[in-house]
Amino acid sequence: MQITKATFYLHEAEPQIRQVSFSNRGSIQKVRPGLSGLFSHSEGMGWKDALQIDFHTEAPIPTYRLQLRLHTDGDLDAYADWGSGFSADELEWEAKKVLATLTPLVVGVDAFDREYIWQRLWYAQRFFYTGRQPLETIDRMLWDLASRHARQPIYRLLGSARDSVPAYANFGGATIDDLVAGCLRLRDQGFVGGKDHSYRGVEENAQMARELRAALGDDFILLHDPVESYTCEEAIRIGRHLETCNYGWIEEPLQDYDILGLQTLCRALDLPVLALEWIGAIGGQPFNAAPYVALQATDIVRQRGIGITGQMKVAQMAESMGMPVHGGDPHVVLAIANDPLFEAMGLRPPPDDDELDCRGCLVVDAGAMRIAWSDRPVVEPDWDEVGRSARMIVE
Amino acid sequence: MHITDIQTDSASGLLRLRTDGPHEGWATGVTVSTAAAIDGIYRPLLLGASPWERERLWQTLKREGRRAGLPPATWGVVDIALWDLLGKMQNLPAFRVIGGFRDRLPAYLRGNSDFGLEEMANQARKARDEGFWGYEITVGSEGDSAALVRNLRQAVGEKFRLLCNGDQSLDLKAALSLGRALDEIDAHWFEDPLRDHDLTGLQKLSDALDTPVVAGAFLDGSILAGPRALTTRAVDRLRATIPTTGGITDVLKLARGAEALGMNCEIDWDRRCAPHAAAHLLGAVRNAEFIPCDAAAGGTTIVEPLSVIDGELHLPQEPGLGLRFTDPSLVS
Repeated sequence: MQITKATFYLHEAEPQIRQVSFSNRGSIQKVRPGLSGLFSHSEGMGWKDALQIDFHTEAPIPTYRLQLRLHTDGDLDAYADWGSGFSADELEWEAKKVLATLTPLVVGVDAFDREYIWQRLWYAQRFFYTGRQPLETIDRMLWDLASRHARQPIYRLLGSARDSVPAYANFGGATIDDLVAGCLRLRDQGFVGGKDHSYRGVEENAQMARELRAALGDDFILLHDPVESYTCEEAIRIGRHLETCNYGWIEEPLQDYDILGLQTLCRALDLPVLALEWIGAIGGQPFNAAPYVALQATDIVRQRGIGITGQMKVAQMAESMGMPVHGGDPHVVLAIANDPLFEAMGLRPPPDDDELDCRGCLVVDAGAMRIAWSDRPVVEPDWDEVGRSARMIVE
Repeated sequence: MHITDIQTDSASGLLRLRTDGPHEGWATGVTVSTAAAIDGIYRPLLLGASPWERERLWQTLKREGRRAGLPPATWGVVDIALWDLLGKMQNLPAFRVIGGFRDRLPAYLRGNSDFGLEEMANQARKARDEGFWGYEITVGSEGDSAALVRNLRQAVGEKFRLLCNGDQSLDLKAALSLGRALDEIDAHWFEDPLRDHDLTGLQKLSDALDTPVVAGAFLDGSILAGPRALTTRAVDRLRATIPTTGGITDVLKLARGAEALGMNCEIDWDRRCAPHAAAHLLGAVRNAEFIPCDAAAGGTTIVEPLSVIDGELHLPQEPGLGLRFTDPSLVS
């Protein structure tokens, strides 16, 4: 099934108020004077900045959505949303740029030659400075096509390792009492564990860990995510406290760039260290993750592979070197045996059975993640109608 | 769709996974001992399972294989048959089920190991003229191998790739000595110079030689052993043989580990089975260079050979592995 052509459809979307607001984001502040001297995101400390900056339009203004379609000579096409924005002109020229540079790398190739396309667009990242998004989107489009072709969800195409994975969720709070209450709510929702994002330094975070363990009981999984707010010395000290509280892991304790610090930390602690979220988000996985694994500068690899193909590469690299991964697409998580927990963004109750199709949809309930699906084919877009309703077709 | 029966025939080497659907999965290379283990140990684990749960089955078969002391080829042939089945179920060739990278594979010719220089030189020149990408000789501990490779270089000219296989028969001193000659003739690689488990010796050899050292197919069959040989630079390229090292799933994981480390995992196939599984895997990865083609007879004859045209092996495009049996009644 060969990819024969690429088309962008520019659609009008729901009008929205355009807004940027400082007060929604919190600021970047020193982690409490007298502690590490590092900087962190004040929101996780429960600090509110006095500064209020807010820009917004008075009324909703038009928005636009760009949809990419890769035509094939078979009975199915690949398609996905490419981007959205407030400027139709910018999206039109984005479409033209992609048609002039990236889609020629894909047209003429078999739609199931995902590895060839992944490698080609991987190198396009370097030569065209594209960032990770084009590869991410196109690889997923091709997996989605394979899913509709086989009428199976992607995780089964990848070779399902299991049908569900225990799930935890994140909690926060301005005070330790808030954090404890937030974590108890997660337990009430059925989650098997909870992860803080607390940048309070060693003493307060140790206090938080003790109070959480006392409140949650012995069986609940507790995870600590200080988001790069410790020095190596501090991370060893908090790590010892967390070990006595039977924590599951410490996540991103140091900057990912600090390979030698992470190696020191991994050697010192029994508590597993999870790293590489940030450096992996910039790009480079699985290639920049492999040396960390080989040097044992992390105990768990944060999954940041690009596309489904890239995430499988990261998971299989880690497995071949005896290491777990964590995070990533739910389909990938179900398809591999070396990711013990799913990080849920809240509960996702199952839809009615008659809403399900072969793509499947993410369900988080009863303390676990799964993909609910049926063997019903996906209702394919009516491309003539899509073309008629589009504000503009770029091809 | 579920697996309803597993049939093994060690006389022909054929494995058949039967299902309650219209398709079945096939693999070659079953031996008397793997047939016994599959029938005795794996059968209950496979019956009733969905072929879509390939990874779960791989994990289970590997774990139970470890408990029973089975070699990786045991779960390897089952895994290969599953990929064949999954390809047929999706109406796709196996390499495109993984995610295709290419459908033509550069091939080198593996020469007859019992030839003298004259016959070898003729065979190598013929391979060169037919478009093969290289010619591999196998040397042993007997004779002057260094003189042999120098003479062979003379015979084929400077440009044609020469690959040397030590067949795990050399000691470190002999391997270093031969390796210097290989450096001198600009050999493409030095395969299996020492026994695979001699990681210390391999590391010394890899450090000393410019010619890439390729080894590791027998590293206890664990997908975990190979990357260790790469991170310590005990080898310059990993060797994986299907199904000796394991099935498609095993070697795919090894290849991904090697890729992430910026290295190659060179994929070979056992002569007792058809080359199809190795070929499809090579069609789905970037970091493997050549498919070996054998000059000598002696491989399985139950499957028609794959076509090699101008030094390139053309991957079968039919669903699954594309095994075509010389005697179709085998699978009727």
